[in-house]
Amino acid sequence: MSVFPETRVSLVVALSSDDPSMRARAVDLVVSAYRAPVVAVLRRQWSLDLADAEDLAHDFFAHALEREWLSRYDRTRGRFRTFLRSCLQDFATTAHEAANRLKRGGHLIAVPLEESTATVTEADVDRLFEQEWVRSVLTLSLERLSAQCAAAGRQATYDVFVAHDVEGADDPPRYSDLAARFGIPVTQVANYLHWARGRFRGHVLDTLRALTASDSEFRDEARALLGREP
Amino acid sequence: MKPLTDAAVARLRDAVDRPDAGERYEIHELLGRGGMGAVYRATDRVLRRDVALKVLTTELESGDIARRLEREARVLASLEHPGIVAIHDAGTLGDGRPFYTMRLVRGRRLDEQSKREGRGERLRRFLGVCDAVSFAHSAGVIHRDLKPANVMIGEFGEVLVLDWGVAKVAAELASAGQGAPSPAADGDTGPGVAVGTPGFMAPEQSSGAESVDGRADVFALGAMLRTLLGTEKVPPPLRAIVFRATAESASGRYPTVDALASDVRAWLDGAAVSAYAESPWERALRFYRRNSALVLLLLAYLTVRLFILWWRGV
Repeated sequence: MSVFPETRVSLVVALSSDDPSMRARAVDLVVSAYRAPVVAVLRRQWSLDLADAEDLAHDFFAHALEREWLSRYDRTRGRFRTFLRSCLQDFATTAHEAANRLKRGGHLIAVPLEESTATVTEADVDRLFEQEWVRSVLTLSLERLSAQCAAAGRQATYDVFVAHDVEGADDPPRYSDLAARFGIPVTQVANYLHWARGRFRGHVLDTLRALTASDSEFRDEARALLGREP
Repeated sequence: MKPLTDAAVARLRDAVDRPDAGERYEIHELLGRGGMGAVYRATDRVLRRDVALKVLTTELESGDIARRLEREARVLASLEHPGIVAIHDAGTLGDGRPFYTMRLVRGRRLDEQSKREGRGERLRRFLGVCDAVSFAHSAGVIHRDLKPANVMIGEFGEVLVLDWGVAKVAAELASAGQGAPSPAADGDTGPGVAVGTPGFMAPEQSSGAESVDGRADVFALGAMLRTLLGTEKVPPPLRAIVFRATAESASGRYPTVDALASDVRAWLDGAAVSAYAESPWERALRFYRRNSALVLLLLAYLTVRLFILWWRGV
């Protein structure tokens, strides 16, 4: 099942829906969008290796769903992203305290949660969380563009876009090289990129709309993702 | 799907952000970003020249912000003055975002430029800002966000006042061609909503009062003058000008931008400044500085006369 909404609706609002299928879609989307940022924060702030961070991230989302944390989100009190980050901090701190208690009792612990000895400020962690959130939103949007291109028989369009703007991001290939590689005229490369970028932009905004609970939060998040300084 | 690299993330963000400017404009680098949107360097393929293209960050911005951008374009179009950047074109991009293009100003911001110049040059630049703002006032437009960062010094030394997005416009200008007065006349800021930049905002503007008039710009210009004068030892008359321009109460300020400019010009010319009550000694010193050649000539004449009198007496 796709995690994406058919229309521009907020799935964050649907987290507290009475409809189980709607709620399940909302949970899928939240987990898809926030799993990577949560893992990144657990690794940086708590010095976990990848496998342990992924296990703990899984526990975090399971715990959040079991305790219905996410459905308690109040849109009037700030961004959903900030709320989730705060839940994660509480969860990790509690897990850390539990780990210490077990350590003092001489038991083995599954996840050795220790605060990073490196100098990691809260601002660093917040920046990392936002950076990975941006990466997640773009990845989800790219997956949706891929599905759209496949459904519309425009695989070549998607491939040209990926070759130029994803794989060739460091040093974008020349249009003439892409034309030769895909066996299309140079003008077609420009047309494909124009089409794909426009659709990709739409998917990013749709994803943001789904991940936010109000118009003002949506605009704030759009500015955070798009509004970078030169 | 493989995780996106940092370079891919940056490129995709740029792909999402970059306006779809259609056939006419080729978009180049991002020049800056503000509360309303972004400004790009663009090439107008029809007229074959570079322009600055201002566009909203997303087409889904609130109607207020979209209207504010359109209003800013109308305000700029109505103000034809060498100190106000000229607008070339306005419309809606292929992706639905409103935009306008204006002259691409190549130069430096006033706050950057002023670090390289002496006090006299800075004051003359300041007078250029006053000239543009005074013209806008005469056309019924109050800028409301004057600060050194919103002034550019062009490559020929011309002073250009930018960023008219929160300007307050006389109702007849805002509603021109629209049939009825528009709420946009107040920059889409209702009563109680403060617009501007802290440190440059008049008290009545900070409180969101409805009765903001040209004296709010006088306050901002006074704050700008204080910034331009910096931490160096400021002569008392200039200090008095700043003090009067930034008076807490609007009625305590210069009534117009021209009156403020006139005092600054008077100081540059060595004339009396209306905001400062001189002592007789200061007046004499100023007279000497302004007429030093005449005073020295007179002194020389008197010395010679005295010498002749003394010689005859001997």
